[in-house]
Amino acid sequence: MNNAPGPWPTAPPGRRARPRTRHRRAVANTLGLVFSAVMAFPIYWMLLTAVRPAEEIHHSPPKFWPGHLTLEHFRRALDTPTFWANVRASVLIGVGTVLVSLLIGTLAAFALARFSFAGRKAFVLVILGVQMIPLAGLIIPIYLLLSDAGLTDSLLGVILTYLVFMLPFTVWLLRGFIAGIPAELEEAARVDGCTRLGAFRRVLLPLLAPGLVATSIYALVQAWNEYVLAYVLLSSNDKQTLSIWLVSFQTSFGTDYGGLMAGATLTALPVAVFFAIVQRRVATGLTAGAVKG
Amino acid sequence: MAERISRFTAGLGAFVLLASVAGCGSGEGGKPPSAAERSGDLTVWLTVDAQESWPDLVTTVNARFNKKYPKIKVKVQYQQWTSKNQKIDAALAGREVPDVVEMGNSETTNYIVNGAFATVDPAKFDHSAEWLGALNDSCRMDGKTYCVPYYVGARVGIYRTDLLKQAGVDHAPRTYPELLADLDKLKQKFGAADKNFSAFYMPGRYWYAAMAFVKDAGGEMAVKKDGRWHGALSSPASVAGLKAWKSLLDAYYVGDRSKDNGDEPAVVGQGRVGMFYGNTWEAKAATDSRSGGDPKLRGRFATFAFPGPSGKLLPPFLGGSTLAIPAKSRSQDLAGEWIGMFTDRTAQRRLIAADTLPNNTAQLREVAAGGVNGPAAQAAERGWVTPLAPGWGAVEKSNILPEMLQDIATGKQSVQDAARAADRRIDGVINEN
Amino acid sequence: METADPPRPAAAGPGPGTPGGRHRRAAGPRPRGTLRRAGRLTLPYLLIAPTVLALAAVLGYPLVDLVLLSFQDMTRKQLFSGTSPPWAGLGQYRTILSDGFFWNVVGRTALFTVVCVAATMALAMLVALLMRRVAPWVRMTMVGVLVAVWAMPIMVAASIFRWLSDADYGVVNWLLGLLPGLDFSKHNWFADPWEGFAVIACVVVWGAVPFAAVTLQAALSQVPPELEEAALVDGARGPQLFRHVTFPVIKPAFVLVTSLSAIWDFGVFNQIWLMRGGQPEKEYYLLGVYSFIESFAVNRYSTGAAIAVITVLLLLGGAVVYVRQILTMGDAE
Repeated sequence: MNNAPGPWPTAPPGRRARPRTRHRRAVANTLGLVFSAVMAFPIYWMLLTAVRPAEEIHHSPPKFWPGHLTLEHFRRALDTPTFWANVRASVLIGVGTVLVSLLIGTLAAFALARFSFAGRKAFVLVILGVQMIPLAGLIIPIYLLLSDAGLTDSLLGVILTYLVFMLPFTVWLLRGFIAGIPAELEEAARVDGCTRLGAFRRVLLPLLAPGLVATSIYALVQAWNEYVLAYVLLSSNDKQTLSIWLVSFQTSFGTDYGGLMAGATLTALPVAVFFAIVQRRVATGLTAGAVKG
Repeated sequence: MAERISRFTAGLGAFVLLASVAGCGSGEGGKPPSAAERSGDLTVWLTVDAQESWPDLVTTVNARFNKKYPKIKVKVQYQQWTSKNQKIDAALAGREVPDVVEMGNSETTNYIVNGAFATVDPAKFDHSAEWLGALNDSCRMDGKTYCVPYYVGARVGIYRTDLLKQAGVDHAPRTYPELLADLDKLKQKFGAADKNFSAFYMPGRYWYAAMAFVKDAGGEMAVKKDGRWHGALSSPASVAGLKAWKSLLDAYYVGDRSKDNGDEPAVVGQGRVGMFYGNTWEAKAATDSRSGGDPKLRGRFATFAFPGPSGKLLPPFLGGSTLAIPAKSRSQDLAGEWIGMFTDRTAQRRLIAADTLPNNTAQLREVAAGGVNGPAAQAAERGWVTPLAPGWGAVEKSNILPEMLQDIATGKQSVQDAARAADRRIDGVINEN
Repeated sequence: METADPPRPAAAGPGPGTPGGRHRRAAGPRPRGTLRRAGRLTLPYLLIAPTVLALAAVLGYPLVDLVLLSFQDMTRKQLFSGTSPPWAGLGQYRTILSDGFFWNVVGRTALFTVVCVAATMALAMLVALLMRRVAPWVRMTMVGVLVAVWAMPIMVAASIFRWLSDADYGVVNWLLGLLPGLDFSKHNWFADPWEGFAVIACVVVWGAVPFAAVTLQAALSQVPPELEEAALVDGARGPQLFRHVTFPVIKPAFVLVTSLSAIWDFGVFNQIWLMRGGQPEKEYYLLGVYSFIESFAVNRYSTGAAIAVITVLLLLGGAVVYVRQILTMGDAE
């Protein structure tokens, strides 16, 4: 079913041999590269700062190429006593949030996409409204609630909190993906003797895979980078997430840019790798191939 | 998580146990467990300074504490200054509160007024009779003490020894006219060749510096009259101080006027500053590449007690820390004992070694006069603190002073107008709990 | 077409009909009405139950608390002691709504949102279209960059942008200074709020483009090539082709991303907070920051709560068109 022509659709056929088109493509390529360069500059600056010796970092006028390469910043970042504990916390929170929100989000999304039921409008409104609430007003009430439940300074408390902020988005996105899968496919499977669950598992789920992957990336990036709630909810330094750990490079003496950028590189790496692995599926264009095939 | 649940059930168990004990008679009459028997956690929230500058002190104090209470687990958790208070607010409203919290001396009043902290008995702490007024005052209300002074810092003048020598000056300025003369020489020698050279670094939003000039001129940020606080920046004395600050800035500072002093070490480390007004450790930070400084400048900074226009030393802001015990803490006695060990004579000696000033005047004399911190100890006697008004924290956090100074420094408003506008804003929040 | 669905294939049947509303109208609501058997009544409720429960359990109480708080006058004393604060009725709302500064902030927030969303969507659309035209290796480069930007924590992004635009050692000033006749040395980008917001908008848009571009790209990949070919044969070209053939297909995704961006940008907090070093000046208050400052800096928790409530109401009001579109999706045929 994922036999769509690669992750990105190729240009429509029948237009490629003409010289004018070739010229156009050169223009497009140039534009694409310029765009990439501009977007990537801050990232380049991060990497550059992470690998250049400290005395080059604040050099004036700025240098755009490292004079020497060094791993001292990475070493310093990795030597922070809580680093691996923070990695663990981030991974547990990220994976926990993503898995749970996908699991229960898919169910709700299925209901929204396939059924008409009383209270549906209200549900949609809630889903939409939750995303509009500014976080500031909720910090203390959420803390008090979790404190009553004994869930402050606990990863579970953070996962639960993230879950409710992630769920609306998850449900909304997945609803679209499910709505894009023709119900006839499930119907057909059920005519062939599948149970409703069987039809869901054998027909819908495989078709939904790219949607699930895409949604998981959105959720993972949010959970991985969130800072304010995690900071208030987690007080043990070894339970804090990487995004809180990063702040420790801003000391009262000034910002340790080398350490911060090395730390940021380490923090962003897992997400980028995850994305690199799954991006084919995200971009496969969902179910388009299967429907047409 | 599992740990959390077990703690939760343990707590529940203890509660049940306590209830049954109470059922047998009076719980108070029961024999308290001996020190060796007491168990549980003691949670301490310190700011990152302890982690960065005296981590060994934390370790030794915990070891000493555990010798007496082997079954108590001390959990030290480090907080960032910038985001600490919203976390403390949430925690104090909840059930599980830390047992010790570190508070800046300009933050305490509001918390004390609102009943956040338990009282402490000063007699149990070393040198409590000689505690620095700047810290002690911020801990006291209606004759009771609510926190324990921890350490303090005072700002001094810092100059580039090599640049001053090249400009033909062989010693640090001792009077204000001398200071201005030295700055003129610096400006003449280096300013002509490099238009980015500041003889004196004084960013426009640096309110600790500007308020030192206000204080020097006999002015105040706010005064209490008939039980209510009022902004006093537009009083003639205050305005005179602000004008002195502004003329210093106009004459010798060429940089951006809308910045604060947050990255002062990094800017000074660029090598285009002759003198600046800062904490003693900033001289070191300006040569440390990790804070943006330049290691090549090592050994080229010296400190001096900053003379004020009044003829006396410029009174520095005494920025310091205190340690308080939340009223909801269930281990207040233990928290008190831990604080006692963490702020005793030996501990203060360790802080002095880390270029900070101690919490008491007796040990202030131990600070080597010739050392980098000597001028700070000297200036500290004229030190001041922010008004002990319930709403002062709000004044600071709504950036009233930096915004006023920026308007003055950039010439957007006259000193008089800007000060009057700031007073109005201060009046709006300073009396609020 | 009214529905605002995320990406979904436009043509379910083998023969894509005329481009435009008709065939899509057929595709939209089709899924429903087909599953109607026993359990149809309870099943949807069972399916949404976990989500509803989670939302109710974790957000229910805090939300009620927030709304109640906005009708009270809570100080730290009550916060710390747990006693209930006195009622203030509509007092908080009256104070806020009659405050010129508040409306100033609202206007500023709305303008900021419009600019950021427009820039984000325009850029993302161009990028998504561009990605179909470039060589595969360029496409991979673009995707790589988008992903890296996406994975960058806001806190780090903000500190890099702050550094690049710094007055004393920023790269931007230095680069601009290279241009003949310009002297940007020591230029402070945040002294003038217009310039400052321009920098902040750059951070926001820079961070938002990846999500928007990737989602639009996914939607574009669903435009059946036959559709565009047929239009090409009919003589449609460039903008015309886009407007009449391509865009209608991706419109649901476009609307979705636009509205999400609008919601996020309207409540923007982190970028401003971090770019201003945790001490934003009054000129830099947007609603999210304002609510936070009132709650945590000035300790007027009730005022902060009221601002939060008003923010949600304003958003709902602004999104009323969109909301109606969404709600109609629940209607029966």
